[in-house]
Amino acid sequence: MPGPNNKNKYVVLVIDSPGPEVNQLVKNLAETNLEVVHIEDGQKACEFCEANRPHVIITELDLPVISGVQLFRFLKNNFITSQIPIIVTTKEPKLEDRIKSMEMGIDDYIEKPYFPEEVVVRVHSLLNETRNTEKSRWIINHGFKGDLEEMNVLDLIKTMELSRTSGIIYLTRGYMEGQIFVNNGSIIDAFIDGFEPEQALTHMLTWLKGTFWVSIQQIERTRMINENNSKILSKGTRLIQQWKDLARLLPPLNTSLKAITPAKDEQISHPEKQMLDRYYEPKTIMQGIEESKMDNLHALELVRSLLQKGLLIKGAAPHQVKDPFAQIVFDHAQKKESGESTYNQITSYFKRDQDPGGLPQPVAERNNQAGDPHNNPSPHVQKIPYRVFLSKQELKRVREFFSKK
Amino acid sequence: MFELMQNTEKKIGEILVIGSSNSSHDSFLYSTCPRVMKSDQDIIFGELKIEPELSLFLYGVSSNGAYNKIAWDIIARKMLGYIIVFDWFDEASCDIAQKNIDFLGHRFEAPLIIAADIKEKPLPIKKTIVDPYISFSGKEKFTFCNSKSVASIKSVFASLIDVAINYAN
Repeated sequence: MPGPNNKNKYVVLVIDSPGPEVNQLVKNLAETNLEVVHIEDGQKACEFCEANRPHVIITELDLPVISGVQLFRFLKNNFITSQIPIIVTTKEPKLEDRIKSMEMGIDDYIEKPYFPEEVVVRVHSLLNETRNTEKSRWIINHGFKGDLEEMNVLDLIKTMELSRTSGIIYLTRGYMEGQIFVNNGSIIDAFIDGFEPEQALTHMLTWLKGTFWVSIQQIERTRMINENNSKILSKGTRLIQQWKDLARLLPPLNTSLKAITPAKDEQISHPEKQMLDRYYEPKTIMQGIEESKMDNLHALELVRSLLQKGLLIKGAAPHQVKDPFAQIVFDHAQKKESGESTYNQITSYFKRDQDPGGLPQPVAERNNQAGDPHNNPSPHVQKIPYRVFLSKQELKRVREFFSKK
Repeated sequence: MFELMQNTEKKIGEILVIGSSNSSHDSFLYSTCPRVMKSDQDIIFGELKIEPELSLFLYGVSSNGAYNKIAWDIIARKMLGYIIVFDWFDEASCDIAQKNIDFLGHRFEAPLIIAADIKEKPLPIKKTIVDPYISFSGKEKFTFCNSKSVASIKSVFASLIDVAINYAN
């Protein structure tokens, strides 16, 4: 884990006035391969914690500038520092301060005078606990972000529920943005512009592509969603399955569609008409769904219905450059710095797991089979292995030949 | 056309260039080989002499019709690899390329270069992404090419040879 100066050492912050006891503690801690920072006043300590996030804090209750209790309050209310273990040291503690500190969640309490060796042991004990849940603690403390293809909304909700975390899940998919508000692991509200909270949540549960950012923080918001997490997760699982089942019946969602004007006497429903309107300017299935702002599943059903009726057809409009998957490629090339997503798009286009079927067989195989030379290739055909009959040196000379101008 | 294969001491590598009927795979041979012959089965053939004792035999075949006339087993066992060329801006050409890849990929383990011909138009995506190619796997690469440019065509061949080098002794 990183430290301010030495990335391989845990950082311990000691907040106390200088003195022989503190100096000895600092020395003892440093001898156990810890990076120790000693700050005298609470205000500077707050600034240091926010900027550097030490792994453990050892602090005196009675501090100059701001008190120990004020320091705790600052640290516990700040999502960057709220999970840092704190050891309090003080002589003759007032009961009310002691109670307040315990209520605010300090991890250990040591009365002065103390044995520095004892403090060192307690620090390492806390660090061991931290190490065991290091990854989840880091994630919980800092918030995290990623791709919905790697971790979907249901996974995010489960993670926050398990850790009883509060925060906001920010989601982006195409043109749409939404937020899910979580308080102590329980979903209390959801927001997408133009949607009721429960509709917004249902919508976001099926976002399988896009990005997320989880911000860990205290939430002060009225509960607008009354379903418990268990029901929400159940619903989400069902919706995702329905989406996948429906998507399988359609062309790939990056297929470009265009609308055909229905005949005057052709009856289509109002939602179908709304969906059809999206495709008079050709776009991919997914783009049309996103722009519609309808419930995803409902929108996909409408696309299916329109395709069946022949009111949506594949292909670019005549005025467009005939570039089958350029839009996918352009979008990803613009959004992503690495070529990986573009590679994925091109790969998925070319490396579909389809039976080639219907293609003429090689002569040798056809000669071994009776009947129609355009039979599908035998499923038992062995791949012809690859063997290079030229040596590496010879190939390098060939390579050189092609490199010449 | 196979009468050219007379000197058995010569080292020969074979490369197959496959395209749809309206793709520019012919130019892969015509721009690199001094002499190109066309068989009565719509297969073109050219010999590229690298050195006196080292040559490449290039076969050009359109997948429309000539597909089932080629002796795949004979060529495939000795070929260094194959190049599938298609017109990036033509949907039908893309579909044919896809079918070619599916078909050939099921049969051969040889390296494959998928070359999307953009002719002289600007590159559709950032050069850094396809420089020199996008790798699907150790043996399959995707790149753009300009069938009107000899340098571009040579670069596609060079990409194929690069892959073959990894498998040579």
